[in-house]
Amino acid sequence: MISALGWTRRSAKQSEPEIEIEVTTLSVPKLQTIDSENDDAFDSDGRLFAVADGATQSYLSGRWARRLVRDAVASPTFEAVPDAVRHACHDWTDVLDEYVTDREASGRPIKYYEEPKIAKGSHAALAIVEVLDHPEGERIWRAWAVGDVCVFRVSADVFVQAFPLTSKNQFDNIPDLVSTKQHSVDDPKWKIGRGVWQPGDRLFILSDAIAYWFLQRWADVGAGRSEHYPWALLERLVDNPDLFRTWIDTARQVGEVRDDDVTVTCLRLGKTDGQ
Amino acid sequence: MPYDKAISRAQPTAFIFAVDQSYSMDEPIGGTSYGVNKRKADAVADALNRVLYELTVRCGREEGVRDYFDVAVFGYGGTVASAWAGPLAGKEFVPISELADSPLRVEDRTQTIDDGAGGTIEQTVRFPVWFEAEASGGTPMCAALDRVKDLASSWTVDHQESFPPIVLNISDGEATDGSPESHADAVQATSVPDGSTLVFNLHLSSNPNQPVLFPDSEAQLADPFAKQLFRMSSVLPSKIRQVAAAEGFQVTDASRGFVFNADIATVVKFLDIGTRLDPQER
Repeated sequence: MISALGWTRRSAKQSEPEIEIEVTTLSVPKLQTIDSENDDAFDSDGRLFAVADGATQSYLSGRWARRLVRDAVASPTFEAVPDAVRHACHDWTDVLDEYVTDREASGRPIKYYEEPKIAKGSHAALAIVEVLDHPEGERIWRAWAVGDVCVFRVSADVFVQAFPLTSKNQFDNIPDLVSTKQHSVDDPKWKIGRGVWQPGDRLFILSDAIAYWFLQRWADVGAGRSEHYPWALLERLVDNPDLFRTWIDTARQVGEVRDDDVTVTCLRLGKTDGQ
Repeated sequence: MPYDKAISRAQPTAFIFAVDQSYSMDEPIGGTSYGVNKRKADAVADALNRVLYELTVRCGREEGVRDYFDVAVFGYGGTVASAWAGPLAGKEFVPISELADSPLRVEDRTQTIDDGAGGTIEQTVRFPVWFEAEASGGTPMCAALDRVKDLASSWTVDHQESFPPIVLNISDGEATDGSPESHADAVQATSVPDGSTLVFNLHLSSNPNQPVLFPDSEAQLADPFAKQLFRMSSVLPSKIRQVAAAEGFQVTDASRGFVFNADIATVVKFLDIGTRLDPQER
């Protein structure tokens, strides 16, 4: 749902047979841009939760991000997600051909300066999360990731786990990305993470600019430079979209958050049947 | 920290190219990458058109070209004038979107590339042309720098939140209208809060002497003219120094945006490094 303010919010109480998960997502485009220029994307089928961050410098990156999250969460199993992404890469040629045809038909043919970027393909960072309650009683979460979309777990007001990046020093301008032009059998460079969880935990899936801010703020609290944990602030903000928009715009204007599209997905992990 | 401003549509930055079009630019350029006897004027025109194309591609999106850059090109030889022609004739600064839509022509050129199997293949590439090679008259570099100063000064007034302008001066010899050093200083005296206008100088060679790339001391230069150009050149800011280092150039914190005795390959590298400011987006 796109509001008049230009952000996307989905909030639903998801009930698996075993787990209650409340999902809230907010996504805000860069400063002084419009919703259609937001290259981040989110999707979920109640079982898998995916966030993608399209590389702004690449062509049709927002469209590619939306295609990735859609196809990732449509995967029949968590283990099959890389195959689903591989098929999305394979199918992208048809998507691109259709786009080029539509541009011609609408009197806006592809221009000479678009050709080099089209040839280089589209790119995005991606993370997909699954939350499980095993029959033996072990509650685990697991995630696939390519690049710097991050999954952070907070339990009892303690930041306990980060994946795939664990330090703000690991962020750079050349992360691994899922490309529509796979260059080798090793592409993309998947990482897989997992951890345990308990009722009351929060899993945050964050695009890179806000993930970096999260780690910086956490370090500031640890060093006594700030009193407010980043997760507390984010959790308060995702429940108040107007406040979130005001806060993120201000933070970007003063340089506290890098001016980039921002997506915050908060999974509130609730009760299970066992409780 | 200076030279740290992000580049965006709300806060674009500016490139001003000043290109020597004197009669000596008719001479062959040093270096054999493109074969024998390529004129300096043609090598510079090709390199400049190439970098303008790359700027256009960098800013291009499916909805159009985003105005991250304002661009001006001046030629100095028989006259000192804006070198834009065709639809852009008479203009000085041109936003990159307008540049993208207004090349003089788009040529199909043949490029030889590695076929990945030990051989080469020929590929046709599109090559837009905005700047035409010329070679006549003297080298009125002082007058050119004065025009550049006026342009930079007026631009900075309206862009106080932007990354400072970058001037790239390309010449094959000494000025014929006086000593340009104080004129370059006047350009560097224009500024925005993020820093002073940057002046980078590239000297073109006609002989096979080794280029001197991004020196950090006058002591590295034997020629008095080279020393003067060194003094006229700004220290590379961190962002651009990192690009140069990533390209394999030996640079230090004191390295200047200056190349002496550039051959044809170095011209391309200099322009690429001097304009490799990416919008603050991944």
